[in-house]
Amino acid sequence: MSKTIQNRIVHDEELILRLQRGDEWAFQLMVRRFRKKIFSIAFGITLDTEESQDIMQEVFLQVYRTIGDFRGDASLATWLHRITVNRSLNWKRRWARRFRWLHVSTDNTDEHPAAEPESELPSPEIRMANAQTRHQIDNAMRMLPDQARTVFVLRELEGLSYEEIADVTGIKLGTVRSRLFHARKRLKEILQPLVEEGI
Amino acid sequence: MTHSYSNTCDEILIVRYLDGDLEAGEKERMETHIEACRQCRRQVVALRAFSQDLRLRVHHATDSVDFVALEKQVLNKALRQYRSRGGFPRFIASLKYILPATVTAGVLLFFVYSNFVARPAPVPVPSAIINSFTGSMSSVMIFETPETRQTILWYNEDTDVKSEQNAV
Repeated sequence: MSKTIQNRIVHDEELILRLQRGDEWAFQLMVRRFRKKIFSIAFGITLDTEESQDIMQEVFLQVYRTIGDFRGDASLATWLHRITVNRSLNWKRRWARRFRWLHVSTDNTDEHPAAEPESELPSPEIRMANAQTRHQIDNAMRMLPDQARTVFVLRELEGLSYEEIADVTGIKLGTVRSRLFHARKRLKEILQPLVEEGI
Repeated sequence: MTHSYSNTCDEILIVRYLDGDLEAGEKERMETHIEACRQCRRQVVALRAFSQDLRLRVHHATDSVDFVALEKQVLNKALRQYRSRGGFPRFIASLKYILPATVTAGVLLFFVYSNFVARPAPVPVPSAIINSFTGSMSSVMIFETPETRQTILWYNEDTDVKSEQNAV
């Protein structure tokens, strides 16, 4: 079965039809095709590896349950993105996990992620190897409001256009622009010490 | 901010520039401005670096996940879901068609059966009604059928011509 999956190109339209017929092979193909994308979005919003894995599984199981209701007014990818975003935001709304979220951000010794500017920026790979850098990024993202972070993640991680983001999130194009603007403005404030130091 | 190109020292334009959302002319003017404006240049560099760091951060997190194992888990859960819950709702859903069809068929069957198949057996009518009897009988036997409760009169009469003639 895996050999077939690797070798054959199946377009989303055919994949949907097969899924609606309850084709197990199609389901496996869909999981393989979208698993990393879904994980990335979930992680970008939740910043939690374990929860993102759970969300990814929930998304696929929801698709499996409800594929019969899929009318095809959006692409399969858009539909998956939409479910992922909703599930990720719902995750944040759960009080216990929200507590953990807040707990992480306040318990961290580095409350101001960009408060210690680097005079010279090493390569991103080297910086990413540094746990402190990862914490700085996570904390900067946590400082963004949920909706602004979601739009920012869809734009920066998935490279979606404004129109696609509007489709996924169900908001107007102008609101997408506005949220993206506010996300970057807020990030600019957070990164301001770094900017002032001179890159 | 440095305003060597003050008309384009605009946060909204910078964001649109970062998103690749500017027209060719706007983009050219913005690039000229960024070259001249140190503050805007720093902002663009810092925001671009952050986006790149975020992508690497997610990539780093993705590398730590065993997607093969996750795929197996998802497939198993979907299969269990199909067996335990998925099958039953489909059965329930199918009832919305099966139930009315069954009721209609039942009504039709009842109609056909009651009107054509299960007609009551014709009640045997008496072959004759004896209002009075004169003459002499050697013996009389009275029977009653068990279901239709018809009375059967059986008798032997003497060979009396007169009496025979009087029998009605």
